[in-house]
Amino acid sequence: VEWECAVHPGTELTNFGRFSDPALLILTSLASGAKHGYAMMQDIVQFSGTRLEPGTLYGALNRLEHRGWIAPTAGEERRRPYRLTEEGANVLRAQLATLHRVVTTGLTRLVPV
Amino acid sequence: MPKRVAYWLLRLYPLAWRERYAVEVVALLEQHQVTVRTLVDLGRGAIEARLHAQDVLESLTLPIHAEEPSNTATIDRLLIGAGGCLLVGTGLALLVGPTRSVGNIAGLTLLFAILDLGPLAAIGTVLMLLHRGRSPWAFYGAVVAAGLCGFTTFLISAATYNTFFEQEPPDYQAGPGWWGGLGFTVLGGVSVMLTLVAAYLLNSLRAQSRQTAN
Repeated sequence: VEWECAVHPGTELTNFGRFSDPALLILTSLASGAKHGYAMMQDIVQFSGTRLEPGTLYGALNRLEHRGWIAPTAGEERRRPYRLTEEGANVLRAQLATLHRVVTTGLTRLVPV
Repeated sequence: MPKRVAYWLLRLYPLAWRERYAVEVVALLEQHQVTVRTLVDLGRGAIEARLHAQDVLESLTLPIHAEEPSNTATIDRLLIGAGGCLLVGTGLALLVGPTRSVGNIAGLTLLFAILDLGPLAAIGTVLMLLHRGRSPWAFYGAVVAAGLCGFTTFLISAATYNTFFEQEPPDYQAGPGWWGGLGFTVLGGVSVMLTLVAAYLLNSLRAQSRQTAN
């Protein structure tokens, strides 16, 4: 599934290629507070049922960090936590709003069926 | 997964990426249940990281921290040395190895030299560029040049196999025989592989030197 971000043009996750879905999951996970890699994986499994593997997780983290949507925080070097930046929160908000419209529309249209 | 194995696995990734994320990923892998899917995913991630190596370098926001076993750098250099020696050895074998000459004119030897010295010179130039870090495309150039060299070596091996099989031809000097031909071909194959490894590792060294310079 790919989404277009109408609210913040140029910041859409679709540019992430295969990392767009993991990136959205990561942003969502970090919305509840800073987490390190393993904690993110656990959290994402819990709320979405998706089991991200380390290669995909860190591929997406690298891209998100590159965009400035997440940032590493001071912490234990081996388990460095990442936090959502303000820009990242805006992107997530926009993506979720788009998704919400899709979900609402889809559910409405499914009712007669 | 044992820490050392995890570090070795992560050597598939570019050096800059490893210096930034390896410590974290190794810590994660120590807790994570590693399956075949994990290994495939890491391999795929490594290819993508290599294809976007420049982006990875630019995205670094934290100072690097190396926690990898120090002997890996030595192994890198040994591999580069071995690859280089075999490459030169192959070139020399082509020049002075199995020949099929008529009288005093070593026709095939000359052909070997012309065909193989070009790629060798190309590799030398590209590796020099790699060392100086002047071109971001030097790594890909080195791989292509190494491939060309290997392909040429194989081509020559295949084309001259007949030479090795001949039994005392009347007008030609005999080559080194079956074993010489086989050894020559194996040497070419090993040379290709080690040259590619050397080019790959040199790219890592280049990234390391760029990081140090920054």
